[in-house]
Amino acid sequence: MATVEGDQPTERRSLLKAFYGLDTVSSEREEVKTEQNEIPELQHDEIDNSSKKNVPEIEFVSKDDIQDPVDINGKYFVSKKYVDKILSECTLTQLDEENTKLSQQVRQLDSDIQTLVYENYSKFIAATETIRKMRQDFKNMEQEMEKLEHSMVNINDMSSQIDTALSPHKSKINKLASIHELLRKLQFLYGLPGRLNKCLEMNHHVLAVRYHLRALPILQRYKDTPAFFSIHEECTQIIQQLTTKLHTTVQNTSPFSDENTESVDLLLKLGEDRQKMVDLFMVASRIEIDIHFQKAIKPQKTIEEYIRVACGGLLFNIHRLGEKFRELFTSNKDMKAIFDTFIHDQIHAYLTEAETFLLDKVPTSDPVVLVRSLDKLYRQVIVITSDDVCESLVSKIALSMIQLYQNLLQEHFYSLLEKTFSDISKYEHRDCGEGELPPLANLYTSLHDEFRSSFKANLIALKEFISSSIKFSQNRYFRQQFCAIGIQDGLVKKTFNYVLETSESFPSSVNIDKYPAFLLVLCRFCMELYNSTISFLTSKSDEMFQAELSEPLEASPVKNTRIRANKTASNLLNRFVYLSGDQLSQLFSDNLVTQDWMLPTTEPNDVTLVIKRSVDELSYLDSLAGMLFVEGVKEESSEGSKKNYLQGYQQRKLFHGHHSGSSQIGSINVSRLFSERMTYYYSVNFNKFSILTGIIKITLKGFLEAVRACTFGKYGLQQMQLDLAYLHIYIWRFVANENLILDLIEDILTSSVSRCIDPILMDTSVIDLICQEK
Amino acid sequence: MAEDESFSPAIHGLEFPSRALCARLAETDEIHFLAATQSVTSENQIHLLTYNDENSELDKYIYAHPAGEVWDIKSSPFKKDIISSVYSRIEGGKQRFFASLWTLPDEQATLTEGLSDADDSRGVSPRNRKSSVNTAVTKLCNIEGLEGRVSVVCWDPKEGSNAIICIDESTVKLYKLDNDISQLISCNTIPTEEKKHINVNAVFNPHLGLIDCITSGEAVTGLDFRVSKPVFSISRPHSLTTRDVDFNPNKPYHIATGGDDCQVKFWDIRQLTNPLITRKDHTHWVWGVQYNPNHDQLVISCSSDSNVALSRLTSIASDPIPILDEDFQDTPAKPPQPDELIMTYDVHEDSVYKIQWSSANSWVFASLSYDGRLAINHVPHSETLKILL
Repeated sequence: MATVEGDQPTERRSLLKAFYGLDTVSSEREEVKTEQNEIPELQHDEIDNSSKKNVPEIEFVSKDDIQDPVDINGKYFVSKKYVDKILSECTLTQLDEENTKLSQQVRQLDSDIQTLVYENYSKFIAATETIRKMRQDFKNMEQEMEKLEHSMVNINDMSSQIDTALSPHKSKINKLASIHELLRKLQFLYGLPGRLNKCLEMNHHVLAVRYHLRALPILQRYKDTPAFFSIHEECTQIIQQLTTKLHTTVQNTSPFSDENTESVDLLLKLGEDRQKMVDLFMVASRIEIDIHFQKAIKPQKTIEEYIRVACGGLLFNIHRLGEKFRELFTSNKDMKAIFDTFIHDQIHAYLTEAETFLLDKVPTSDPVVLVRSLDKLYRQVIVITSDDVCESLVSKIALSMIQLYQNLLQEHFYSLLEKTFSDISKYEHRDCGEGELPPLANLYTSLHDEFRSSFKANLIALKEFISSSIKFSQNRYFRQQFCAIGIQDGLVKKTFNYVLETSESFPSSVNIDKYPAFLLVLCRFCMELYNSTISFLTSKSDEMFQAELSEPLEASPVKNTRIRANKTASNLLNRFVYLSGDQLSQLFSDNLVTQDWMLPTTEPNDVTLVIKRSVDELSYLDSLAGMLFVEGVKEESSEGSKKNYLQGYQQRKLFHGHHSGSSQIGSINVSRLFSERMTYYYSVNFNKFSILTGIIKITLKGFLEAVRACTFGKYGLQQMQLDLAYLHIYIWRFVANENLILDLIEDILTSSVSRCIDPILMDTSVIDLICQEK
Repeated sequence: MAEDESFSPAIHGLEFPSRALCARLAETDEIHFLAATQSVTSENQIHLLTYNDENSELDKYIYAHPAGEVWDIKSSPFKKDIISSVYSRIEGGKQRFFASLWTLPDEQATLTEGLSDADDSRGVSPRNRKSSVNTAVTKLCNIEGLEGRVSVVCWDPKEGSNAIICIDESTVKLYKLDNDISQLISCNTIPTEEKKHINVNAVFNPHLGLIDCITSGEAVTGLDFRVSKPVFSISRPHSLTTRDVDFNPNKPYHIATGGDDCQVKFWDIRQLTNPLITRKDHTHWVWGVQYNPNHDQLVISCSSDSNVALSRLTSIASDPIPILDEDFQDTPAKPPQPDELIMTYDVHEDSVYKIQWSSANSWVFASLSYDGRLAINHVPHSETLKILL
């Protein structure tokens, strides 16, 4: 406020200054005030304010650019230019306003000047009077001055007389004074040994050293003179004593004691070899640190305790030693390097010990405690040394923690598999499809959910390592190690690989033949991994562990893992299909081989038991698959009902049977011409129809091969005819494409006919009757 | 197929379902194959096919085998005109199995059909074919002492051994023949561990060694005739049934097996925990697998998925002896060919039960499917070049 207000009415002030003959800007304001104290305060303020109000903008311009010709208050104001500017820039009303404003200002200024003139008139008069008085006084003064001059000359003369009289004495006194000084010094020297001894007695080492140092240059210089020589000798001896004493102190006291510090300091002053002192200091330090070191590496019950002992003892003391060292031996770089190496070695030795201890403790420790303790250790170490000795320790511990969690997760998964398998094996596998079905959907859900939540729990536990309150988590190197190598490559990728590997190999280690349902559950699990879980968990871990990275790592590559999961799922499903298909086809061929098909002597009146069992078995498998997989699309839409189906079935001429020996092959070949070549053990799709089709194809093809190794009598063939018809009626509903089944069943019948010694088929109406009774 | 367009298979059709096929082993100049039919109602036949590699001509001689339907046919490795067959016929409402040695009639004495295979691709009219069935094979002797279902007869290929084995329902029987191979002079019965022989095959060890022959079934078993018991056994190498087995003709301890898991496996019988190689080139049971008699890297296999597969397995093949090494030092060593499926032959429409390399030309093999189609195929020319050069 003061400066702003003070600078504003520059023009006016300079006029006033000229009037009073003042020229210091700083005093200007005060002067104005004192000189103008007769002006009423109010009026003075008004002047200031009004001038401020009137020309604020122009004022600022003048500050920046002094030579502005349009600045009305400026030094270089050109009225014509100002008028031109106003005219060119302003509207009429503005001009009008400007005009009034200016005329107001002019009037104001006029009245200001007038007031000033009146105010100062009386002062002029007083001044004139004073000047007149002074003129009279000056005459008296001149006379006085002449008298003074005369006296001064006299004084001068007297003084020079005295001076000459005293000059011989003066040099004498000077000489005496210097002799006195010398004597005093000599006395000090002669007294020095005594003083020193006294100081020593009183343990006043600092003083002794100070005396000695003072005397030393002289003694050194005059030690050839016999008198001084003895003193020098004596002093040297005493100082020798002192030095020895100090050495003992240094060696016997802790490097942290003031005594020790003082002694080292004094010894250095006495010109002791610096290197030697450093060595001494180091020896003392080493002893000191060794004690703490032993304490620190003593195994403790908990990690917390272990770290606390180390931080409070060893590391704290190392830190203090470092500071002490800097205090005592600041200058020398080489020595500092030696000391730093020493400290570094100590810390390194400790950390190596600590690593062994901590790694040992990892499996039993809580990650939160571990991380806190590590953080404490890390903070303490980085205070002492800028080397990254602690980083590798922290990384190693962290990675070992990840490894631990990885193992736990894998073990958990394995036990989940075992549990699922034992749950499934509780349900007796029923060949007849009776009894309770194992709740595959539930088993699968619990397997999957438990795996997923345990995975997530592990990630959360490990997140502690990169929590923002933890110092080392900010370290880029650590982050990289932990997130990329530990989590991304280690935990996530390896775990998935393990899971898939185990899913594929686990069924081999148990008696899977009896419980193929387990394969279905595993397959469904791997499918879910492929569909969502892998992506979900990987992105979850990326999100948790990379969000705070300044340079995020590449997104984890999930593609390969997913492909693998899909392949595993497909392998498991195929295994299920092949296993079930093989079991069923074995059932058929066992039945065919054990019976003599030449034997029957009457027309069959019932379906073979094995065929009925196999249909039950198929519907059992169908309901197992139905619990976990979608149904799939049926290829033939409308002809769903059994009745329609039977009719379509009867239309096939084959079952009416007018086979003669010579046309057998022809009929096989013709039917093959129109059907596509079949693959039997192929990769099925993840839906129920595809699974069942796979099983049925394998079963029927096995059946066909078995039939070709048999020889049938008339009624044996008819039994086959009946069995096949029954099979056909009951298994069409399991598959998407019924024609496929029909083709295979026809093949079987054709082969049976060709293997029959008396190929006469039954009447289809009888077959229908028997089948419909069932 | 595309890489060898110049060659199309020679195809011959048998009228009845057939599963018996063999090469005429004693014939080493011309390519001869023997196939036999299986019909419960009609008279069965043995077809002798001679194939001219130069002009792709296929000659057929058809002999009657009135004794019954033929399940297996084998030729003597030493005498051109002697063959063995396993056959069954219905006697008194029951099926009975037999095995016999036969002499083939002289080729010139039978009606010759010199039709080229171009005419044959659509099949020869049955009338022509029937007219040739006028000579029957002559029985040398019955193989006595067989019980139940007889699976296979197998000839020892080693010179002078004059031995055959015959497998019936529960035993393996070793017979010694006289020098003319016309009479059985001794019989040695070896019980096996398998409950009942179904789908059994056997092969003699062509090398001298502890193991004289290997049989396949549920397990693969090696037999030693001196101690008359199994020497080793691989239990279920192919999930359910192992359907064929073959010895590597050049490496004494290597065998190949094929079975119901659609796979062909290669084993070293000194180390049986794991197969050397497992190949899956089929989508149904493998019924036959055979090493090429001269170039053991070539292996053919046939399956009830109607396909025949030709594979190259350089990694476990016997090493060819580098004879001309010094002369060819400039040429860099040839990188070994990778193990792979060379070709799938899909000329069949039905299950192929039998496959056989020719004894005269190591690039030719025959395959026979149940519908009676016999196909004679070549190893692709490019492949033969790779092996020969």
